[in-house]
Amino acid sequence: MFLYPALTLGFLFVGVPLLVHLINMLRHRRQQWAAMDFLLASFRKQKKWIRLRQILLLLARLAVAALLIAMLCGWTGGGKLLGVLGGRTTHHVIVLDDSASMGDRSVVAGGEAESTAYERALRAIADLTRRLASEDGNHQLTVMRASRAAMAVRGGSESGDVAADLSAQTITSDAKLINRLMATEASPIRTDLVPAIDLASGLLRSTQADTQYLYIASDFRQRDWANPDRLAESLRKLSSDATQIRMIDCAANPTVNLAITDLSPSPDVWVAGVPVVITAKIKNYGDAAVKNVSLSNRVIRYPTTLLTPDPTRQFSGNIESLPAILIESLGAGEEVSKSFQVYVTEKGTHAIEVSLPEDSLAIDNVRSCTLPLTEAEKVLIIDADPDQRGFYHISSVLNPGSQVRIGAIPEYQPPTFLRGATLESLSAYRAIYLVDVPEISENAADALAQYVQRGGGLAWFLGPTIDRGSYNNVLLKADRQLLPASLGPAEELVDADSVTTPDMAFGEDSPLLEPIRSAGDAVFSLVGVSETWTLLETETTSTTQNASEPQSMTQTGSTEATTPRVREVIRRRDGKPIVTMHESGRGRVVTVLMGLDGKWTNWQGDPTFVVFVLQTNATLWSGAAPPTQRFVDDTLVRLLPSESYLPEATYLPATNEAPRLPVDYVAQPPAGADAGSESVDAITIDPVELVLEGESSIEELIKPGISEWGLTRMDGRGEVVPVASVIQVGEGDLRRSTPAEIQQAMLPIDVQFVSSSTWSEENQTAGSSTLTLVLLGLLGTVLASEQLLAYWASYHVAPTARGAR
Amino acid sequence: MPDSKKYLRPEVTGRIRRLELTARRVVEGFLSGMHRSPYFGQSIEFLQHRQYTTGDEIRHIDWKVFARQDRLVIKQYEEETNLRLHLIVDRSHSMAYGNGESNKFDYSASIAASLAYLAIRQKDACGLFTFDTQIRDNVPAKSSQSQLTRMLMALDRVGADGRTDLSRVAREIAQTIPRRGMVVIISDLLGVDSLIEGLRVLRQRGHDVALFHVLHDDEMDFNFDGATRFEGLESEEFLNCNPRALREGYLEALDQFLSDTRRACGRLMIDYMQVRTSDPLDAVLAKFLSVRQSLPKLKR
Repeated sequence: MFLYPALTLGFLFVGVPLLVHLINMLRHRRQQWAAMDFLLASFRKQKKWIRLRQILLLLARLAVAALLIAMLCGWTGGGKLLGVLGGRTTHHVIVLDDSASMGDRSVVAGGEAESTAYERALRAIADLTRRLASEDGNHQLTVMRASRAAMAVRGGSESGDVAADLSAQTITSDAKLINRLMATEASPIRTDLVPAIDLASGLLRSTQADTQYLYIASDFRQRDWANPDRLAESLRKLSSDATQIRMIDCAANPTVNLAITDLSPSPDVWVAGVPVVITAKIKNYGDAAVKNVSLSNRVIRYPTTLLTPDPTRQFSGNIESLPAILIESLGAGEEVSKSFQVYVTEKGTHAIEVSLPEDSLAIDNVRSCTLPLTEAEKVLIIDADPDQRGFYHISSVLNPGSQVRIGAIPEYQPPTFLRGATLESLSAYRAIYLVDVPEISENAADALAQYVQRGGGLAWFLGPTIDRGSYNNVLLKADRQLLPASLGPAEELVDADSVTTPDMAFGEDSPLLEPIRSAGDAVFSLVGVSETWTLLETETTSTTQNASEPQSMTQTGSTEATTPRVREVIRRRDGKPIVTMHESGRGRVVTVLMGLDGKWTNWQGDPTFVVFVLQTNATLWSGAAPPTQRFVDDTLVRLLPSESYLPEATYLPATNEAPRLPVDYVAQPPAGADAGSESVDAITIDPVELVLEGESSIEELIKPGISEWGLTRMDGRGEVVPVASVIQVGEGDLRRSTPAEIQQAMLPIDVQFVSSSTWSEENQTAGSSTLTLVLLGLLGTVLASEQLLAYWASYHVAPTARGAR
Repeated sequence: MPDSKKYLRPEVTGRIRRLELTARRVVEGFLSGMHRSPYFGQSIEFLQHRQYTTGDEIRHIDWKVFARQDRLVIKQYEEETNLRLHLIVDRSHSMAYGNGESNKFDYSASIAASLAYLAIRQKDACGLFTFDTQIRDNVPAKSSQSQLTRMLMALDRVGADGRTDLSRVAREIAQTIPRRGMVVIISDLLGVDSLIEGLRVLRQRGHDVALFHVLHDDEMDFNFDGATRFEGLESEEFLNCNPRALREGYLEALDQFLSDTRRACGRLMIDYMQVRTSDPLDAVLAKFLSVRQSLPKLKR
């Protein structure tokens, strides 16, 4: 009813004219008078009119006082009461784009320098709410953030009520309505507006209103709006319902924005005491080149002596800054990779964080990953050669002795080891090398398949002594996928003595030889190959997969593929594969179609073999490596094996500044766990579920950065494990679509664009000015009436020749 | 000794002394003066012929008429006589309204003193009555020079007080004055219930009656502002009001009263003079005298 309720005390002022009137009635000037007869006659004649005029005058003065106070108090009109009693209902639905790019601080002409696009959007909503509160009629407000809508839809919800921050709430002058919304920030999630608009459409259809408005407060980036077919489809449904659509443009033209698009440790053994190469990718999303950009990086070490998380600090671990890396120049749209070594001698999970200087968009200037380091682990080498030549060649690479530390402890076993091999016995090894093993039993194949599926690494060296038929029968049976394809007959390499072209060449996808690939096929000039096994129906692919693409982001993520994608690492001169790699489950399988016995090749004596074995070992290990980062909106799962940990843990969400608020969780057996299976409890934090449950703490839980688990081991000792949460790549691209482009794409829907600043100005003046003008007009009318009544009641001094007494 | 300057203002008497106070009607007088008398005398101004009857002096027979018409008629002449002027001044409470020179009683007393001075200066007899509900003071008419002093003392002695009963006073005065003369009433006529009756009594006695109706500017214009409590001067009545709201009705009632009074005076052939206390006294008297001189002399 009133914008400033505290000032309503001023309505006591209304009593003042009444008091003045009463006081004046008591304060008469005395006048002795002779001609009382005429005076009394006049009074008797006009008594009724005089009283009527005085009452009207008094009422007019009371009305003037009341109107003045009403204007001062910011009277918002009584139309709401009328609205409740059956007046017009207007439903305002605001789809609020809170994707990460809304954190853009590019300056709008005439706008505040420190405002983000999201803050401007919130101000636009506040201004709209304030205006509607002062307008007549019943106004309902629905606000839906795009990130919540996207997660709700991902969780299978089709109800807008679940995702909406406000759902058809009647707007009052009470600012509490949007207080919670005003406290929010742009989310770190990358999403478009389709889910939000779909849910908003459902809400608009399900609510009864005389008029409906849909406002879309967004930054209208090109990546979402350049081809808005899906958006247009959603909006067309609304348009047919005669809903008016207004676009509130909250962003400014982008300035320079650099983003760290990836940060991950290179696939390697990740053993404590072995340096790990960390690679960061930086992309320039601006339209101008930048120079001399400093990339800061630091390691947060979590020693085993750190037993409990410290909420009073941003990180519980010890922070060690590394030398900054200088990017001398980065052209517009270019991406550059920068690598640096991290050397940590303590096992455990550590964290790495890199950051760029401040620019338009802050959220993509920092990125982190974890580095899970283990102690040196055993690798199994089964060699059928009684002379153990294969074992020798591999183990001399993996464990060269002296001060060189690779992290692997090679262990020789004869082929008979496989007879009694089980998953448990194989799980003791981080990688398994099978060199010229003639036959693989079903039992062994089963164990190996399970081993690989769980992330183990397996390398085959298939010499002339193997039984091709047995291999094909056993290893490809029942989707074991232990070979890239059926083995064909061995084929000699034609013109094996050629000196012009090496017998071996890089395959089109050779991640295992990446360090020497730049030298070209000539590095194999000393390698001779006379014969290899062939692959039947080989589905090798030349499709280049981004080798540095973050690996599986979820701890539970495993995709069933009926046909593994086989990558050709090394091929023969005639193009037939020699070395292939494929994945099976979480594990990786490297297949070398020749042995190490020296009959078909002398590669094992070539330096390139050393590189190959080291890279293969790193690749095979990394299959079982835990993820080094997760996307902020992915489910966070913490497994707590019951033999190692108590089923409870404390989670400290990532934050930019201490203190942090710890949240305690109790682990539950995973859904669908067999009663007889290994007892592993899990804590699952699913942002989607939190949205569906209406949990308010979700904003804290989906912040990017380094969060920490505080675990308790069964022996009572604590353990702190960091988790790196990162944002999806792409939000840093701040290029915008123009209103004209969007309007063109939206045709025939009529959408109106307005900038957030213009919108705020409109709303700050619109509602109040109308009512103020009405009140002013009313006040003027009442004042004029008061003057007329006063004149009528003869309170004005009429000009006379003789002065009035 | 009374302060003659209080009511007899020199600047007033100086300007009007050139004017003669003449009676418009025939008045009786002891002295031969400038005023025509109903008593036929030896004046040179012929009045009328009358049929001779036994006992008439023969010297009054108009022989010229007898010669022409052969009948005896007596020739009668109008006799010039002294004016007997009676001033009747209202001294009721309502006359106390006004401050300084605008005080109604003071203004009325000035009129009375000026007329008395003028009459005595031309050898006419002049008397004074003051009244409210009854005659409060009576100075019998004389033409001696000391008469003016007596009258001024009488005016100075009384102050405005009491209510007004003009009807009763007029009857008493009519009985008090033995001979016809000129009666000048000076009053505000406020609180007078039976004005017409009082005036009629005086006229029936054959007096030449003039009425000075003295009103204050406030009473004529009623220019009051602000909440005012009006308290009656001659009554216990009072009224709390906004005077501007009542002004129109008041002026209407006043106009009605004034026109009724003027009409009644006209009917009774009484000279009516409405006077504001702000009007210059000399101008008022000069106008009164010039009007009286210009009017045709009427015979009773």
